[in-house]
Amino acid sequence: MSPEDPKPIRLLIADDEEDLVTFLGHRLRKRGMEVTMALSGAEAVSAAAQLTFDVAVVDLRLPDMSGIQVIEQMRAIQPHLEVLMLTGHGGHDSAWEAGRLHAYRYILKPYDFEDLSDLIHEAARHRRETMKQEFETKLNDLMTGTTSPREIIEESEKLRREYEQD
Amino acid sequence: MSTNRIKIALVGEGRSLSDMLSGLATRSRLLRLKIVAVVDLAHDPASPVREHARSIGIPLISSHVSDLYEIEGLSLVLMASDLPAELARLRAEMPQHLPVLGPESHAIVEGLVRLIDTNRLLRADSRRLKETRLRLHEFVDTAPLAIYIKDTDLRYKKLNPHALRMLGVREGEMVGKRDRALYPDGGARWLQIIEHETLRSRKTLHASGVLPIQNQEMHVQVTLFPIIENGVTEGLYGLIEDTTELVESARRLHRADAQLNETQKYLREVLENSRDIIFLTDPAANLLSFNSGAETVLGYSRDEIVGTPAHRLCATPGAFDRLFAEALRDGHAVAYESEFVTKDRESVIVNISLTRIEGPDGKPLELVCICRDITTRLRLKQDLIRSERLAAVGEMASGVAHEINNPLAVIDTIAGLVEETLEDEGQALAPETQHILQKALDRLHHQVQRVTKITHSLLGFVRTPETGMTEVNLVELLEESLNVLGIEIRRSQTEVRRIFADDLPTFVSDPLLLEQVFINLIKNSIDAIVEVPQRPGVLEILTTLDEGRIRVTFQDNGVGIPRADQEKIFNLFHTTKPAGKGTGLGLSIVHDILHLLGGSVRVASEPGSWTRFIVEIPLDPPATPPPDPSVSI
Repeated sequence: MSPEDPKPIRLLIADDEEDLVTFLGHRLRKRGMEVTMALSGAEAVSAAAQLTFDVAVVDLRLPDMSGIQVIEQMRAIQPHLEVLMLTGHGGHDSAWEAGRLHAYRYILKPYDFEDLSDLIHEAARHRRETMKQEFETKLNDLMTGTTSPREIIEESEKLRREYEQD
Repeated sequence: MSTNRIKIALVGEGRSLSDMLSGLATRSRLLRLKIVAVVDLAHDPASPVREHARSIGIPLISSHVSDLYEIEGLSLVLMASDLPAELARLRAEMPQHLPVLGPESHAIVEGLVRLIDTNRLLRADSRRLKETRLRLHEFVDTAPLAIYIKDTDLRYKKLNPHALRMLGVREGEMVGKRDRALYPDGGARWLQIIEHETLRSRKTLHASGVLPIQNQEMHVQVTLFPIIENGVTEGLYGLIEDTTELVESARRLHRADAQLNETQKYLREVLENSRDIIFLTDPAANLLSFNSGAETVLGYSRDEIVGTPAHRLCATPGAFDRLFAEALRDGHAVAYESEFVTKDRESVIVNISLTRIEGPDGKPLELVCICRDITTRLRLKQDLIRSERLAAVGEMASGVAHEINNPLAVIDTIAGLVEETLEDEGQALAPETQHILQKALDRLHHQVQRVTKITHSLLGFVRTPETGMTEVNLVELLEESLNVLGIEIRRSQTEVRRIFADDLPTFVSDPLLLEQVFINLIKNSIDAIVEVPQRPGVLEILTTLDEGRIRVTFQDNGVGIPRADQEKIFNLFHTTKPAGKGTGLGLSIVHDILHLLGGSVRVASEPGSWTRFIVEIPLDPPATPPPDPSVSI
């Protein structure tokens, strides 16, 4: 756990290769992450419905749905979720699709563990910064707006709770 | 009846009497004679002449001249035999008024006989003549020929039904009239001239011309016969044949002939100037002709090769001879993908078609040989087969790579886990065991990386089938490619310098294929940079627009490419990287893709210092991708 990440990273790994999920999960837990494992697209989406994640590592091809569909459905629940796309298939058509759907990065199997770990931290930081920026923008909008002080206090309190709760 | 006839008696003997009797007896009626007595001086009551006389009912048959004196009304006595004594006696004894003809009577009788016979013949002729006339009239009336008769004034005397139909007149209107009534504008002058000539020369004449009949021009052929009766010209027969259709046909034939000539000329020119190899040979397979296509492809000039055996053109003369024999026997023979040899001993692959041409006597006159040069087509076909094979290999390779990558990821992850565990809790183990395990895991990583390199290259080799041309923004595409390779760039500590022209238009191309090109080239540069760890790596990407082409230059300060390899670098499976690092796939893919998109790639390099790849892409994509003659596997 790096000093600038006070909270442990909440990670979801979705891959139908059980050995991979098990051992990758184990190693990342040792690095201080909170890891949830899913072996299918449905499991991944239902996990996203129950828990909030910073980053999801998703295989491009899952047995029940494509990685792209999984991203779309999880994003519908958690708009700020950052995704790293994993694939054993190097066709750049898939890379193109992933890029289009704003996967944070696209990673070919077999990956380098350290690179993957770094990328997860990077993605989590990216997510935090994006959210912080959004919070500040909204707060700023609120302050410069024509709303009453009472409303401002109520709204800002709500925003702060949302941000801090996350 | 018998009273009107002249009563005669014949006197004589033997043969002469017999001849005279038979000559006169059969013609007596015509001569108005009646033989009333025959005196046979031979005194033989059973002679043939007496038998004859009895059989035809001669009233008096005697041996004595004196018996004649008693015959009443006897007008003439003919002496058949030359008996001078008897004649003298007879003349002396006969009554004064009764003439007796001596030996001259023979001549008289003979003359009479001939006269009668001639008369008979004449009568038979006249009967036949009548029949002939009848037939002629029948013929004239029914013949499918237009026939007319004119008098010497050239007035119509008769027209047969066919002629009336042809001229569109009734007989009544025309008889007694001249042609002027029929052709008022003098349209038949030529016919009148020839008719006059027929009358004058009394010869049968032929002529042909045009008659304006029923307001139409009719081509006719006319035959004119003079009619001569008793030596006097009475008029003429005219025979008209409508030859309009014949003339038309002839004209058409002539036109067709002219067209045929034209076509033949055209064909000859086509054959002569054809790009195909075309030549003629005699039945002994010696060259008779050699067209310009043959000259161009085979390098021989017509003059130097005509007259020599055709099989010298073939790489295997024996095979050509067999083919030739087959064509001579069956009329036609073909051979596919045969090899010809040019004058410069180069090989040309041709399809041969041999055809026998027969003379009027049915014997082989010559053979036509048409050969198509399929060398280029064959090469293209081979290229196609090769690239199809490559695509299939790529397809399979990517499938295999995918299957390998997943377990590889698991192995590597587990190896890492074991390594971490060894680091954290391995103190319990003997130092030597720790060391060997550490080394084993290190090698395991290394080997996994080796396999990874190969599988990743194989994945790059796939030519994505569902590609498409679309609007491409070059800078976005380059950034995307750099992004994909972000980890490698950071790990190799390569500094990427972007020198992008800001006036670059978007253009139509295949972004997925182009991205594959850029990724391969950037990866290549990084690999070259890693080879020189002592020097900070720099990759310069330069974009420019030049004469309708976009140029992207990738320049790195890596290890460079040995000069000997710079030509072969785009060949499939050729690699200059250290063993185990390169697969020889990347640059051949770059080359193939750019060729497909109508672009190109060049390389320049200073071994040990730098390498520059220059990619050019057209702003307008090619309509159809050109075949690639340079791919070799």
